[in-house]
Amino acid sequence: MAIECLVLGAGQEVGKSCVIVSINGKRIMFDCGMHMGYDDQRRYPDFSLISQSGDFDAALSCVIITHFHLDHVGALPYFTEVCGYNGPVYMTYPTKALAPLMLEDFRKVMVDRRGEEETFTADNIMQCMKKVIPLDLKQTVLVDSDLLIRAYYAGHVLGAAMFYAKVGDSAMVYTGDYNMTPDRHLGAAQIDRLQLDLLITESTYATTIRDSKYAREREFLKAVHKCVADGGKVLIPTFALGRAQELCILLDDYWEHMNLKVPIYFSAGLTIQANMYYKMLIKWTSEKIKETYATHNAFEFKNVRNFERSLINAPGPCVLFATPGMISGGFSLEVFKHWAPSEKNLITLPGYCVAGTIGHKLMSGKPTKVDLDKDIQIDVRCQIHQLSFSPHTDAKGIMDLVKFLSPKNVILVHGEKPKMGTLKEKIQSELKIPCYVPANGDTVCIPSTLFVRAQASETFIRSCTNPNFRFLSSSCEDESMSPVENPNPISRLRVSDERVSEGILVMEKSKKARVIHQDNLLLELGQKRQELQFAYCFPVHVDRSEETLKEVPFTALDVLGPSHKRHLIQLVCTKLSDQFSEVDLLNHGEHLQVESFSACICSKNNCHHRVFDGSRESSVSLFFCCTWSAADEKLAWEIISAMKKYTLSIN
Amino acid sequence: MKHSCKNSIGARHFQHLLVSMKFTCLNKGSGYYFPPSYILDVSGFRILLDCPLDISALTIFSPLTTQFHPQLVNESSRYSSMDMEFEIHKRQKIEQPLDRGNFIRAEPWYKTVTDLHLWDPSSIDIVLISSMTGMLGLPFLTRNKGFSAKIYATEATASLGQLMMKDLVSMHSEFVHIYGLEPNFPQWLKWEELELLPSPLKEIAFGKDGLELGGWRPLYSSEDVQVCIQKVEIVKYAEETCYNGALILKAFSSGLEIGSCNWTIDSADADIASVSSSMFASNVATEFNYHALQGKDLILYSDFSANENMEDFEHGNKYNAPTMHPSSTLNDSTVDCKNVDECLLNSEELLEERDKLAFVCSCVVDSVRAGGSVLVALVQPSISLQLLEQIPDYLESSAMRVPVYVISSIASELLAFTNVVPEWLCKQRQEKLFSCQPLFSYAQHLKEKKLHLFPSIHSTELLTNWQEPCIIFASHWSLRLGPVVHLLQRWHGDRNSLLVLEVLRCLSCLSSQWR
Repeated sequence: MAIECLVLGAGQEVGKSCVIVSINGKRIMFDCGMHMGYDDQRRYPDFSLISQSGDFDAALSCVIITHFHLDHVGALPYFTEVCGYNGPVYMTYPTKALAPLMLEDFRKVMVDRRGEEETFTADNIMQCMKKVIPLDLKQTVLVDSDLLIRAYYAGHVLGAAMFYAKVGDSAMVYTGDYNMTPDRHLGAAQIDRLQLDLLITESTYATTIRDSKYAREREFLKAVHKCVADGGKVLIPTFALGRAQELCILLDDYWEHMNLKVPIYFSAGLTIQANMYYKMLIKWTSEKIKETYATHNAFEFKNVRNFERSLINAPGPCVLFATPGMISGGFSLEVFKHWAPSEKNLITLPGYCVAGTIGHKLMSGKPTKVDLDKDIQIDVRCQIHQLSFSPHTDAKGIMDLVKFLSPKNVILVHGEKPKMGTLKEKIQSELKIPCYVPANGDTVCIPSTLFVRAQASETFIRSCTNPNFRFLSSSCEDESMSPVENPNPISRLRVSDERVSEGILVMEKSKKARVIHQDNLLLELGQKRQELQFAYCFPVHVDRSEETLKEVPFTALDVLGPSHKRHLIQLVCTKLSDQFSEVDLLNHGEHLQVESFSACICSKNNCHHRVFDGSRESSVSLFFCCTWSAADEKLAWEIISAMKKYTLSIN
Repeated sequence: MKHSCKNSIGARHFQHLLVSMKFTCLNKGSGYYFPPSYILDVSGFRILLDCPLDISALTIFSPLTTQFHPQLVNESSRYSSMDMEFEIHKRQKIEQPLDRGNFIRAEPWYKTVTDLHLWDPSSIDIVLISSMTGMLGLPFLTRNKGFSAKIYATEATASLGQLMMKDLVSMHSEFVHIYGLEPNFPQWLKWEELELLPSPLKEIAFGKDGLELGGWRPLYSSEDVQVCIQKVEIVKYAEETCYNGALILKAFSSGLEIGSCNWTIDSADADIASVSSSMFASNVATEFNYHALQGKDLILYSDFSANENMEDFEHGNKYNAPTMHPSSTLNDSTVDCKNVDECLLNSEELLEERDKLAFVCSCVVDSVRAGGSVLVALVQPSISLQLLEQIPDYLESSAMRVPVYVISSIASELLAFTNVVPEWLCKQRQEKLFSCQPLFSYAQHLKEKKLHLFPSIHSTELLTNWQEPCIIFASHWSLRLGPVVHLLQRWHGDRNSLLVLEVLRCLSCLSSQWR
């Protein structure tokens, strides 16, 4: 079995996130987003790649949406209502509450302002949301009897979640967008240490490492304060949800603190309504905000008012939050047209703008003129402040998460191609984890896991509990401690107990797998113990005296009498015991023995174990035949090489 | 052990389970305010389910009057009229009505689960909490030196439980403030004094077999509560928690109250589900999760207290008293699930609760129309919350302008809490989140100044806002502590005033004199 990952969107780009993962026969769609930079069919993921016939209910087990941003949920009404997917759709409670607002806002901009043909209606959005099953964090949901999913806090926007999916023994996590550092209104991403075959992570900031957020927040507040103090107007184009609330908390606090009276406006009724949701969903925000909800709900902004269109050209300073975020149209564009030509005014830009939007044009360099379309051109003389506290994790955060989860494979999506390549190299070289950067339409196949449950035998478990101590002495030089605090590093004995257990995995057909201790193996298999024996027959030089030559015919050395044999053995024994003083040498008369090594004089003419090396003439040699078991191999060879050098004399 | 607890075992591997599991009942429970608690030994781990307080036992103490009617304290004749007629419905006949002299005049102590003291706290590995009342006795346990068990409760239960403990501590300290401190070992606990108690009170103090006297404890402090809450590990519904690599614990909604749950315990030996007092459908809390019980080897039904109530009704004993004064009682609506098959009844259960709430609301309107005030002292937050939603609407439709006050040290916290927990509420209320309406309509009543919240009866805002007749939600339902005591004293002589209480198994506080 393999896990197949088909990328329909956000492959080597940012926009229209949509990944289809097939895992042990289940098929999950993660996110169903739209691309803000396109107006044609490229706006939506190419759903035909999922199913040629268009029977999406059969092709997919479920759809999971990570958060309410349009590049993650924008195509959902189209997919469920126009393409006709009727299966389950999962998202967190806040996402279910807030996604329809985003979708409706987008639909209005598309139809009312740009005059485009709508791809889904308000009614479609409503019907679509009815199919959504809301989830709480960490709630373990069985989509069907095999597919289990679970949401983890992602900290990107209110209700953003990372999703864990498990089928059989294969498991994976799709992060969606996440943030590893807590910000003013959201906590940091949190996930359990899971065993994963695959991690699909965003990589918006694949190579950026960001410093402290507070410095950047101060910078932003200073820029805004300076502008309004000089009588200028501040335009903050944002999406209705998320950034608007975060910046609003920031400004509201600052206004309170500095006792400023300059009005802060919200462009449409929409965002005020969104604050209602934020109030009810306060448990999904950061720890600090959660703690204080009983006395003061942080989303009850004191200084914020509704904006009227007539106020665009009203004199005096003000701060305005307007949608949409990248000045791609709508009200923020309208206000931009009026305010951009004055150098007193300030426009803040979000950290990321999709190519093709005005926001993107303003970010690249410092243009003095911006072409709205063929006929209209706007002078841009206002100040531009780029907000760089986007709620995405930076490169360090991505690496930290990958390292923490240590999955078997990583797929990067939702980023820019060259930067993703750099990150991919880093993951592969530093963490030694295979990493893929598929483009839209590509499929990545990775092997999946199958666990076999093995029963451990009692002897094995007992052997596992044997301690394996190692003593290390090290000086305790804690890195966190400065030398002043710790002038005399004390040497301490450190004891490590890394237990190594050896066992044997027994897998037989139609039987459960077991892990047993080696002592049990024979019993388990019903076999007798087999021992590996080595044998070697070699010549030892013998020096003969004249007398013995007479007694025994020269050729009949192989028929030496027992007394001679004993004598020779005794001779070898004495020599060996001089040389190997530590070993226990036993003389059994006919043969000698050291541990499992035993040697005797070989009287066979054609011994199987005989090896001729030809260095000495066989005529003057006596053969010794030895055997030993594997455990004493080293010793045996030492004795043999020693014996080979001997010259024995028969008197 | 001593008590025989009814539990039905539907098991496939019955024999095997008996070997690997041990079940010990500590108390069999008596309704919502005092859920059963028991100890389970599974796979070598000792699990305690719930650690409640028998708060109904507070009734053996006499309520204290406040300084603003000092003359009453000395005039026992007038004072006695406010004492609750006190009924114990056991087999024996009711003796002559109790009068105020019978009650113990002392700083109240609290009756814990007696049998729990027989266990070494350090031997407990896990404590599972199923509802907010199931954790009221927890600080007594967690302040033990050797106690090191992991405590699990749902996020909402832990929040509610903390609020309730806080309220209890604050009401108690108000009592002590008026009454003064007691010596370490109070006079009333002496044998000679206890012997003099009338038998119904004696039974509460001693228990049926006289062994429960050891369960009495002076109340914990707010520091104890803090320490206790810090030790609670919070979970969400259906969150998998792995204990020691051996047990998988999961909480599933029981429908009874916001955050209340049934636990499943999966181990290598057996998969067990423990069903606490549950409701199939609710107008407030998340619906009963039936699927969680499927495929378990063993299901423990521990709480049959509500059924006993029903039996009592059938036997036609003194317990029927409420029906004679129906307007003064709201029946205990925590109907247990006796059988999973009864699932079909769920809409009926819901309708019944709705009818009862409507009935109470109409009684409230009647009382107000007659110029009386209404005092509501209920055990279950979810019932109080629904009444808070409905009563102002009823008043409006009857064209009456009467203020509704909630007087409690935790009033504003409780109401703020209920409006930020959509995940823990029933489907209809979750729909409110999705259509951007407040989860409970009293948010609107508060805005329109129909509903007012005050931390205590002495708060200056209350005194400047005071208007009679009025409708007041106040604690404590035992009528021994808290603002309710003072208000009862003010209105007990008024024929037109109304007291709304829940019927509890061993106590029904109502008084014909009072009406």
